[in-house]
Amino acid sequence: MMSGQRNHVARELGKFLEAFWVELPQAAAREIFGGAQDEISRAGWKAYDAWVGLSNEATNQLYANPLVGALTGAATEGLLRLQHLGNAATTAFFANLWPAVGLPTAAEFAALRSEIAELRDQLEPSATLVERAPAASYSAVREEGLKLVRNAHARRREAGNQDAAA
Amino acid sequence: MPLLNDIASHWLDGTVRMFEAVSRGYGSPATDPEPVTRYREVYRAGKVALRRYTPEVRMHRTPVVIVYALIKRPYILDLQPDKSVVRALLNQGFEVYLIDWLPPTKADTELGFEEYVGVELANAVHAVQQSEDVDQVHLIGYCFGALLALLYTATHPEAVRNLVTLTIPFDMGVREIGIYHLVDSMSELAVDLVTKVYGNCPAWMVNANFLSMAPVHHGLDKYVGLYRNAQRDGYAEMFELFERWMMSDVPIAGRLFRQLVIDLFKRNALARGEFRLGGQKVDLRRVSCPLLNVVAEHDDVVHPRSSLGLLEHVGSTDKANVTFPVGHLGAVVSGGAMRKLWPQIGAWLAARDFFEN
Repeated sequence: MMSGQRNHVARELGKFLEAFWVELPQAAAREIFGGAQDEISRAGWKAYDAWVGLSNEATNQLYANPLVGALTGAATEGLLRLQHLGNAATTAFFANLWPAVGLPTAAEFAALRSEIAELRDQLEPSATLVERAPAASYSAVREEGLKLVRNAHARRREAGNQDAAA
Repeated sequence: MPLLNDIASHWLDGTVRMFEAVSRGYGSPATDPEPVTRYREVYRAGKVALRRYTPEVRMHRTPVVIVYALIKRPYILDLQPDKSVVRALLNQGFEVYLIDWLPPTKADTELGFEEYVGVELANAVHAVQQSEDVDQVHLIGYCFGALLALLYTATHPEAVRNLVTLTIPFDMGVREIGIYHLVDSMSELAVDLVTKVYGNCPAWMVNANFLSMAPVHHGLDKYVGLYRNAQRDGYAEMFELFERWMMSDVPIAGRLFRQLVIDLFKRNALARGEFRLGGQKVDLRRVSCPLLNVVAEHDDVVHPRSSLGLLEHVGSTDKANVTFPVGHLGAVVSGGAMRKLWPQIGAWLAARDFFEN
């Protein structure tokens, strides 16, 4: 497996060296002595692509290195253990002390935020449905609302007149 | 110097996009762009929202159910009018249903494959069966969704007419992709700690995993690519949409994450015939329907060798591997796939439908 990775890197390194040290200078020389206008540009991009290919293969080989794997694994586990410990300690400490001051805890904030996000998610898809409520129903409701307001005014006026008469 | 200025400007835009994604918590249905193709949501329960797309002229009786992956949002399958798997199938006369997995919340920590396959997916397929008045559906699964579709077919063989698996991560013993070694180096304790600390595997962790697969590409090369292709018609719009999708990661439910990393990835339990759903061994020989296994030749997310071995494990007699010269995402967004691969998939399904109108 590792030797396969090394072969890939060697192949990409070969491509890069050829593009950068052979083709690019040749293209520059040809352009100086009256070759095609964009030869340097094309050779430059080819060298860049070869560099990207080499970088990708080198990254893959780095990931496949057992030492890198062991270090990353240990670091991930260590960080997660610390975070777990920190969470437990914080929860134990603030669960009793913080509410005594009358302030919401971070967990309550987080719960509130996720509740709001869930509500938003539940509401949003209805807006993307193609079958939306027709505009006419809105004006009907609006009209109904105006009637209610007018009726309320009329009732208030009537009540005022009755009070005055009394 | 316009070269450096432009690339620097694209890079800054990308960095802002990344910070915005971090601040909004990556992907959710609320952050999806406007749908390209009209649909009706016909079912929503648990962790599933089922979208129904209707063709102008329906030519096939059996509906297609697309099982999308549990990673990122599904709009990659309907990204632009000319780059849409949904439209490619509609144009061939199929009624299409798309499973949109709703992101898990803290309350969903204990959801695993049993719930996603045996309850959520089973209910969604049942909803399609009732809505269409059919006994069977065509299942098309993409990436992780292909794995779910395969498990569903193995446990509900009577409900699946034909199965198409697209870039399925089946044999996880293949370690050709660099980042797989790092995931492999993660201890089982570390996997448990992720779920103890966060409940679910957080979206930022999923995103970081994807970005680490090709750091040079995500850190620089894609912006250079945008500079080099800026004059190409529609490239910038496509880039914008694609980048938005790249930042649409969603959390993975805690127990599912443990099963995925420990059972499927580290122990390679499915390919070794040892994967269990609800205490029962999953017998892939029960997959007896026709199976088309589509492999992306230049896939750098799921290595082709990870997918190719599937056929040896299923009981189907009508089965085939199709290798197409694209990458993992090219199978669902590239022009070549729209012109050649999806018509081929549609024709394969049509030839195995009940009848043609």
